[in-house]
Amino acid sequence: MPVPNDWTLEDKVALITADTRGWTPVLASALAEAGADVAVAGNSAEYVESAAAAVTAQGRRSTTIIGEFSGYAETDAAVDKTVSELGRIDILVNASLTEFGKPTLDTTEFEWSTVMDANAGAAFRWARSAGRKMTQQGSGHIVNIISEMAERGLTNHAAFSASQAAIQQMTRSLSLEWGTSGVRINCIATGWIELDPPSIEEQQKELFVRYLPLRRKGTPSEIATLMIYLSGDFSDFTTGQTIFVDGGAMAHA
Amino acid sequence: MGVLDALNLDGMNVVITGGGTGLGLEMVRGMAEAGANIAIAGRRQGPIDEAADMVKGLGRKSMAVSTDVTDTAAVNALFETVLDEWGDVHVLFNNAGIVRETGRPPLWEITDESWRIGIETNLSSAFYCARAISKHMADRGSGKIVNVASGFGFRGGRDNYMYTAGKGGVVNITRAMAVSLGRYGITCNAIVPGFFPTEATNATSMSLPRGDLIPIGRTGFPREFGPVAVWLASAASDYMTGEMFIVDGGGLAGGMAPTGYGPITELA
Repeated sequence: MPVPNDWTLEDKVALITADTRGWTPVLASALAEAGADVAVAGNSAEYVESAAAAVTAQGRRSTTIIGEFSGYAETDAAVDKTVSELGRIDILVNASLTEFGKPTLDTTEFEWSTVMDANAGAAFRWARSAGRKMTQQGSGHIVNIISEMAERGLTNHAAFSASQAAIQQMTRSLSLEWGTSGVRINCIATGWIELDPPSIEEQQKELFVRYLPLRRKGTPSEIATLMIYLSGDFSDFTTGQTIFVDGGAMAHA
Repeated sequence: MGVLDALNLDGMNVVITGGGTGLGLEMVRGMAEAGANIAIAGRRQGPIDEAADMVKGLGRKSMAVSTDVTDTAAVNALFETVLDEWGDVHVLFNNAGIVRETGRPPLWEITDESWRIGIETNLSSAFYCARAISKHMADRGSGKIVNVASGFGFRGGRDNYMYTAGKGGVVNITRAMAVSLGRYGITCNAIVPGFFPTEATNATSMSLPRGDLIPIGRTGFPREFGPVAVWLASAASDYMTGEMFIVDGGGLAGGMAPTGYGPITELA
């Protein structure tokens, strides 16, 4: 069974963030399967620890960092801990996302600023903290996992979609700013992905699923290999991009 | 079984146009290393024979089929030949294209023939090939079509009409095929290469931007296409369709100003 030789993260160290959707254990396991040691950061000990367990189950080293990461000091410290525990940092995967849907006329100032900070603000802080080390060492890969609402609007999602578009634009500009310092930064924009979707027949009872060209939801493992690609040196000519994995939703009129 | 096993192409039959040279050849190499059997179509027999020998050397099946991709009878014959020999085609790579014809004339000097050849080679060929094999894929209920577009499919190029229009067409026929063929289990995506010095681009006088005008400071290496081709041909990309996989050193992320230009503005 040939797995192509390029697809390796041997000797690499990754830092991945975890939210409560449950995708991070799948993605952290994939990084470890490709050969990376993986630090996991997040505010939910349960989800952070299950992702770390998925890494050690692949025979790789892991470390956990619990916190809110609401300022540079915390994200800098998390990067420093990754380096001190696992030796270096080559990969940052921003896999944490705060979902929010509410009619705009009912959205409070607090909700707007919380959604913007939890998504765009956090992505900026993580990229800045990891990018400081990566630009110094002249190499590094950052993968921001966002929603395709970065590009497409949705009713009741003005604040959320703005927070995703902000990450996409940050990614483009950082790819230019750090391009000659050896740092690569890209987004994977997901459509309707679920950890454990029901049968296709069951899914297709939903109007939205029947609207998708591929007529089914995706799973986190369906973005895992793309994340590995964007994390490895073999993707070094790919930067500043948002790659949509969405069952064809973006292609639709 | 890990997630990386999805990249295995054992037993997959791939047809690629323009697979004898340049980026196509590196995509052939990558997919053959991952296990695929590959039928290579191209205008010139020499390069496609060499590419087929390389694939066979890796222990896979291969055939070289001399084909003018703008000739619909030849395109149909190509797929008949592959189906006769192998029974199945799982993946189509529409890679053939011409960067530019002769010279770079102003708009008012472009001949009917020059326009026609440019559009036929860069756009119609992808349609002809997809038309020829999509029914077979639909009947089986699975298939992958991968087109090769260009940054010029999204942005204008100076004195560059047929390539720009053709690749813009490739971008959007990719989306139309994705939306239309998804119900038959067929995905359709496009690779968008940036600047890669290849035989084709060196053979013309087209001025490639120097590496220092690309955000990462260098042009691409053709071998950087192997992993992208493998991913798009494999089950690993099953949930992606209608998408553009852009590999361009950051070109399309910027483009508003030269690399490194970054004025400083303090908050008022």
